[in-house]
Amino acid sequence: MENIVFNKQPRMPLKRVIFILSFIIIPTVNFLVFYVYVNFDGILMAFYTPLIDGSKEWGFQHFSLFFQDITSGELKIAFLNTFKTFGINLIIFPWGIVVAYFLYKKIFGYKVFRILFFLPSVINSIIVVIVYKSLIGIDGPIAKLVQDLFNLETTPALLQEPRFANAFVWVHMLWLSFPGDMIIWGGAFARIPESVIESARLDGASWTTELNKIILPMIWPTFALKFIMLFSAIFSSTGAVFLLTRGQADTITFAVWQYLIILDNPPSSSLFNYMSAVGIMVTLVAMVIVVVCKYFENKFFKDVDY
Amino acid sequence: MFGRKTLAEKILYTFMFVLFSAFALSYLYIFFFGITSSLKDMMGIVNEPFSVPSFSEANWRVFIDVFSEFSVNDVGFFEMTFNSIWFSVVPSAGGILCCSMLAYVTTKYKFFGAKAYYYVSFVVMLLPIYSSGAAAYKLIHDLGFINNYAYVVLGFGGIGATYMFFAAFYKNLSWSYAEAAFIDGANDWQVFFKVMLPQSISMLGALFLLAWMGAWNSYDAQLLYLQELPTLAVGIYYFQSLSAMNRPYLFAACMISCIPTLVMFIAFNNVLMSNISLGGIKE
Repeated sequence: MENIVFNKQPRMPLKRVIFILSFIIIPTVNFLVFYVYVNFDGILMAFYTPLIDGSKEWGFQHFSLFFQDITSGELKIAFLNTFKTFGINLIIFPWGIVVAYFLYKKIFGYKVFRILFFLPSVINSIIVVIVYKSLIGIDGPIAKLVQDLFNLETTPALLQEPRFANAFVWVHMLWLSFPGDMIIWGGAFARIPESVIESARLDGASWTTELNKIILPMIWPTFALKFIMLFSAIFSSTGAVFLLTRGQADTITFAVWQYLIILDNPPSSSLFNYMSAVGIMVTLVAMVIVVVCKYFENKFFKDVDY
Repeated sequence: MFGRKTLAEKILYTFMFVLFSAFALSYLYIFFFGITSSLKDMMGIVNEPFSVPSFSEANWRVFIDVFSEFSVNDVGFFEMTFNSIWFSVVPSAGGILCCSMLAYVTTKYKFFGAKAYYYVSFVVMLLPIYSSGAAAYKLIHDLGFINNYAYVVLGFGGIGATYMFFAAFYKNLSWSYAEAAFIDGANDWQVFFKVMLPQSISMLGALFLLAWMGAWNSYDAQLLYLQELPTLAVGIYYFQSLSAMNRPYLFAACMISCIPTLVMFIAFNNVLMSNISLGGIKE
């Protein structure tokens, strides 16, 4: 492939300059306004408190408040739940590969499964939540089962009692996440040449050899990138907490905590500034995690060309 | 197609088939529950949520009445449908096209800063910044985009994960097609829109479908920024909390709102499953 190399020419023709500008101008302006400016403003916001007279009180008050809140209260619960939810994501991540593998291997009915497994992404999540709430509601079969299991006098409201609420948020998450990221893994498996698999089989390779020695190395590039993305999004880990409980019954996660601050408060609220300060601290931690993951990726994951 | 299976494989495949079937049926049950609930009256939904109404008892009119009964804050079903189309199709199509154009020009033409888009996209993709939510809301509020159809301009980005997909694609696309077109007298725009873009149509379509389906069902950003211009998803969210007595219409609206995404997915699931690949996109 030979690209156009302009540095060999004395000057780029004006028409070409206009062409390039016309292609980059909208995404660049959009990025500068809605990413660069927003993030810069987000950092500034963390260092002041807006006062009623319109002035700003600069300082580190939001950061000191963060260090107080992190050890107790709602924010502590939010972080704990976020980490637990991330644990669920860690289970879902490899499972997605297993599902994609069997679909790739054309398990009986794979065409139907491929469509049905995508239904949770196609159906409005609100209807899914309504159905789920009906299934685990007081009149539903699951609540009765929990009542018998824990020898409770009354049927528990599973999403309203802190003892059960988180578990049932995670059950909902596991239920819907069973197929994993079918689009990405499906794409990764689709790129594996069938001739490689066939020749391995002709050479007498078992299915485990085929999986370990051929398929997994060939999806490493996708695995490595998805692995880092999984860890970098650690603080975004949340189930359908907003729809299921709105963060009640000790189910709040960091993402929902942030969302509710924006939803329930005017932009002039100092909570916005506090949220930015917390966000900076969390971003710093996420940066360290990404760098560590990238280090391990470079050390252990090797690309396979095919 | 991969030859005969061993006994261990047969057992494993049978186990997986049973597991897959259980989950697949549970996802189908969501639809079944939604449709049967729409066909009941309110008392039927409350008292016997898992019962199935007989054909003669079923209230089939709900799928006609829902168009007049389903409204939130004086915004009716058709207006919500228009909002859903506008706020899902325009930013998805615009965003994907911007991304494709940016990736093409930065991978196929060499100019100052072209490579920066790749590295910036890589950083943006890998490093979510958690301090920007409040500032983003403030900016969108200050720009007057809240409850405004112009909100769609936020989608006209191009830097990030989607850029990486297109960059990988265009890097591997032969430049000889463009050279032939240039020799035939085509200009840069014609080469892109008539020669190069059509070759990416499968991937473009797949990424558009993915973005559009996500935007169609999305309620979180819309709930923050578009409360007075509710989409069907936001309307459904409000309707369930505002109108406890109109559950059949809620379920009917939910089922109808699924039709466009469901039809598109069934029609194009092969395109979706085989045209998007992540990884192997290192510089």
